[in-house]
Amino acid sequence: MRLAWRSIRLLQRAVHLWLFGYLLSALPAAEWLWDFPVVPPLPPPPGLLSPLTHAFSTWLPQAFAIPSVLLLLVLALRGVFARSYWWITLLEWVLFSGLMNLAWLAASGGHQLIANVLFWMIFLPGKEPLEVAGKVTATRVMHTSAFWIIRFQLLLAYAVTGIQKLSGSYWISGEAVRIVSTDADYGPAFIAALPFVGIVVNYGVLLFQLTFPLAVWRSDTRSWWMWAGVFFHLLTGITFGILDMGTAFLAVYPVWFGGPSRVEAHPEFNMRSS
Amino acid sequence: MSPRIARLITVSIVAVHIGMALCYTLPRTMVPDTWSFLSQRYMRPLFHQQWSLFAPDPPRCACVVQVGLQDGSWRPLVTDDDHYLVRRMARPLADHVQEQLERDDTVLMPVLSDAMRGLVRDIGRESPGLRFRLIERCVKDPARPFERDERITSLHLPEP
Repeated sequence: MRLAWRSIRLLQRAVHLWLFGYLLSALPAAEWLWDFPVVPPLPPPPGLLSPLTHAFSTWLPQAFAIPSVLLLLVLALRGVFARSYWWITLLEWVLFSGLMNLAWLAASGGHQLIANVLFWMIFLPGKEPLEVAGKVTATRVMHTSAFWIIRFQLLLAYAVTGIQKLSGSYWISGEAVRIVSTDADYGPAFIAALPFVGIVVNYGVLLFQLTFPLAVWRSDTRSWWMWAGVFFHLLTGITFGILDMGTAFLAVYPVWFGGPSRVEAHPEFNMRSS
Repeated sequence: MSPRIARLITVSIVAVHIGMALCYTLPRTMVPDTWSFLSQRYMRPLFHQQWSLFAPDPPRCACVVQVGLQDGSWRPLVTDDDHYLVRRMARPLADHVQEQLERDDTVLMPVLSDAMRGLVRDIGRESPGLRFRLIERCVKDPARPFERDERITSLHLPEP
C-alpha cells in the first residue's frame, strides 16, 4: 500500500487551515459556545478513554475553554506552514474534540470528520520518510495504516450517507429535495415549484454520494468527482448555513490527490539511505 | 519486517477499523446485532460519527421553538442577527423537543430545557418565568411539500 507524502503534507496543511478558519469564525460566539455554554455538556461516554475526547466534561475546567481555543488557533496556523509533530497533533485532537463535545449542539458531521482525521493524523509522518529498500519498519506500517484509514474515512462518509438515504422512501421516490427546500431552515423554496429540477437534484445528490467512493479510485474520474464535490459542498454550505461542514470535507480531499512521493519518484533515495 | 508481512499488518489494521466504522454508521437493519454491539464498543469512545443528514428521509416537519415575550408576542429562540453557530443549535434542539413530545413525555428533559433557557438567557434575566412553545409545520403530501399543516404545542419545562 502506497504512502503518498505530497498528499499527506497537503492534507496536514488543509486540515490545519480549516481548523484555523473554523475557530476564527467561531470566536464571536465563543461566549455562547464554550465560555458560558448555552447548552449543558452531555455526560461523557463510559470508559477510560472519555477524558481524551471529553476533556471539558472530565478533567479540564471549563475556564480553560477559551484559552484552549486561542492555543488551538496558534497551533492550527502553525500547522499550515510548519511541519507536524505527533504530540502537537495529539494536543490539537484532544482540545478540538473537547471543544466540539462541549458545544455538541452546534457540531456537525464536518466536525466529526475533522476530529476523526485529526486522530489519525497523529500517526502520520511530519517529514518525508526515507525507507531502506526491501525492509519495512513498524513506523512505516503505522504511517501507511493511518494514511489509508483517512482515505477510507472520507469515502465511508459519502457511501454511508448515500446508503442511509436509500433506506428511506423520499429519496428513492425523488421527493426528498423538494421537502427539504420547503423547510424554512434550509431551502431554497423555489425548487419546490419546479418538480423536474427537484427530481434531478434529488437523484443527482444520490448519484454523487454513492459513486464518489468508486470514482476517486481512478485518476481520470477523480478530479471530475472532486470538482462536483466542491460545487456540492459550497452550494449546500451556503444554502443551509453549513459552510464549515462542507469545507471540512473539502479539507480532507487532498488525501486523495495522489502523486508519487520523492521516494517513489526517485528510487535512488532508497539506495543512498541503505 | 518483510514488505509482505508489513502489507498484511497494514491491510488488517485498515480493514478492522473501517469495518467497525461501517458497522457503526450503516443503517441498523443492515448490521447483525453482534457486530453492531462490537462496533459501538470500539467506535463510540474515540471515533463517534453519524452520516445521516436528511437520511433516511428528510424531516417531514419543520420545527421551531418559540419563546413568549412579556408583551404577549412570540419569537424564535434565535434570530437572524445571531451568530451562525448559535443559530445552528435551534433546529436540532427543536427536533429533539419534538421527538420527546412524540414519545408522550410531557415534561422536557433537563438538558433540553436548560438549552432553551440558555439560548434566551439575555431575555430571561429581565423577565423570569418565560413561556415556550413548539411550532411544527408538517408536510401533508410529499408530492405537495409546500402545503404544510401547522401545530402549536405549549412546552412544560422542569424547574431550573
